[in-house]
Amino acid sequence: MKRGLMRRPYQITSIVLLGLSAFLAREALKLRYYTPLGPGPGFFPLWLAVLLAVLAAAMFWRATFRTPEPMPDGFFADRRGYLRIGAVLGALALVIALLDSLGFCLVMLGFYTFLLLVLGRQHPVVTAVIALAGSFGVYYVFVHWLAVSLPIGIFGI
Amino acid sequence: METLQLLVSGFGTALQPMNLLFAVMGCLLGTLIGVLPGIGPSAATAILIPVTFVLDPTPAIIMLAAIYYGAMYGGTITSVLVNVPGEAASAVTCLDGYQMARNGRAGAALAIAAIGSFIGGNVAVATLIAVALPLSNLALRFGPPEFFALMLIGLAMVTGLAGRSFVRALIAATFGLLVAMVGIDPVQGAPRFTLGVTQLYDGFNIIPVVMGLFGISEILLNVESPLKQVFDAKVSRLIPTHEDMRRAILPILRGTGIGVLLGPIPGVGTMVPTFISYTAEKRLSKTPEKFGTGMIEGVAGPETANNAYANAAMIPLFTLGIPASPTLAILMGALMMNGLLPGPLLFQEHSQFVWAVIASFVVGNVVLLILNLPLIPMWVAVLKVPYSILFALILGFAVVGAYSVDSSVFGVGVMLAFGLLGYVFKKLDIPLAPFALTLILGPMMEKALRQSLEMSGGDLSVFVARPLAATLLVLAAVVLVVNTVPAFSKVKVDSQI
Repeated sequence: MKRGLMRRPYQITSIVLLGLSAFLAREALKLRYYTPLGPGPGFFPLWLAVLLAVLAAAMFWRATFRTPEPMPDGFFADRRGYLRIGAVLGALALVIALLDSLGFCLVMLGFYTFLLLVLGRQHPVVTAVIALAGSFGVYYVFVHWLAVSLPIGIFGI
Repeated sequence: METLQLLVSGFGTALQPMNLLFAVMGCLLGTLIGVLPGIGPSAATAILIPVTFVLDPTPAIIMLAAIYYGAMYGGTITSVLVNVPGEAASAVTCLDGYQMARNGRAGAALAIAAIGSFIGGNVAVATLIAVALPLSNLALRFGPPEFFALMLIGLAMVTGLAGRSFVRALIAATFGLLVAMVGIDPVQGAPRFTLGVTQLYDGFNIIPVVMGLFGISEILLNVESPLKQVFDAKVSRLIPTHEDMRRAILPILRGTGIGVLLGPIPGVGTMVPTFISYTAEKRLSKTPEKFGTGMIEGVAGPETANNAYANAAMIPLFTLGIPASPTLAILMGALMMNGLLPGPLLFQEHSQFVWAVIASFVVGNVVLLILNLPLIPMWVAVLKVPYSILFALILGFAVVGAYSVDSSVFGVGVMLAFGLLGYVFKKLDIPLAPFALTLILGPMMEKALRQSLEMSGGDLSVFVARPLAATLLVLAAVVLVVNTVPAFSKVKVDSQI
């Protein structure tokens, strides 16, 4: 890949979009296309999938046969950057996986602790204060003051 | 003359100390909740309805209306300071408001937003007072063909939001339309693209989607670099300069007009006026390429349109009993809970209540301006918090916000997924504004089109046979041509979204 140009990223993107368009078109064809009174539920999705495919093809053509745009600085992060991104995404995924079973307080306590202590490199005392406020404190405010339900886990908290 | 007498009487009620206190409390509570990312006016109003159960109807509705305004301004604050829209309509404020904050001009952005909201809100209330009935009669004539044509105007605006690449803008717009297709078909009830996931039967809730697209993606971009202070909050002055006011006055006036004209039309939603205003300001600017880098016009116009719309949307609620937005539907529920049925009869049977509430809208706008301008330093102080703490707080609030939409982790999952998508889009310079716009407009447009064709038995001439619809279609064509021609010209606009 030529470094410093956006050719390959846009080529890859357009291939992904073409695949997505094919999938969407296939799903749309399972729906009713037209009724006696006008477009059916499959009408718009099918044509949008076709439009997406056309646009993806246009993107591919421009990336391949036109002068590609220069790659902006920082387009690719370094290894540590991707590790941080992965850590944030992983933490959010764990929240999703555990929120209903372990409850809001424990999960958010762990979430804040990880983000502040590990990623943010904050002092343990600062971490503890914010984590407790952000978990148990927020739970109290939302549930008891604002009457917004938040999940309670298997430990009853 | 009778209207004036009723209005004066209404002010007498609204300015009673207890009602004034509830208006102030409502503004503060609404702003406080609205500042929390993801908890917009709808959620804030719904959450705080129980607070008003112990009150009489008049102070209850006064307080709820104040919460509504406060939450909307809270969403503005979050959009400007941390680039996380508090509600869908605030997403457009992120485009330039956040950049202004990064340039050390958060105070000016928030002040102009408050001033513009004040002006737009009060002009809208004055319009409510003066022309409620005639405008409602016109809105009554809007049917599905007219709604479809109106949505086409909104879609045509997408071309004006294109950045460096028209193709990428269209890809974003198409994506938004496709995401909007997910769920139960609005006309025939067939599930589309739900993949067997029951939570998708209602489609994607807009709140976690925009939180992810705009907020989570920004955090992901920021954590690529070591977590030091992303920006330095230089707030040299809170009062806008003469230059700021000079540049903001016309966008404020235009935003007022846009919001007031669209407010009475049910189903338009809060995003349409803000996006129309932003696109208009970009189109009219002598330096459109600078939009997205911190242009005050990009804050003044949309924020004014947003508040003007919010106030003008009271017109169909009070005169017809038709809520123009989800938040107003909640307000309507609160009215009904207090034994008051919105509609024409409300003016006849409960005129004292109606005019007190209308007067309280003016009071609420004044209270919001008086409260929020001095409190700007408090909101700006958020920028002094180290980003290594701030990003965790934002993520935590975002989780709570996304969860509280439907009391389900599914919302958090949606936010995560769209956050990742937004990150990829930003990397590839695919603008997010068209995505957000079509996400809102798509379902409304499809529903309107299909209902129109069902009305006409499949005959497309229904759109030109009706004068209002035909006029709006012509307008859509004009907007499309006016916005598209520069996109294909050799000189491209260079705004970063």
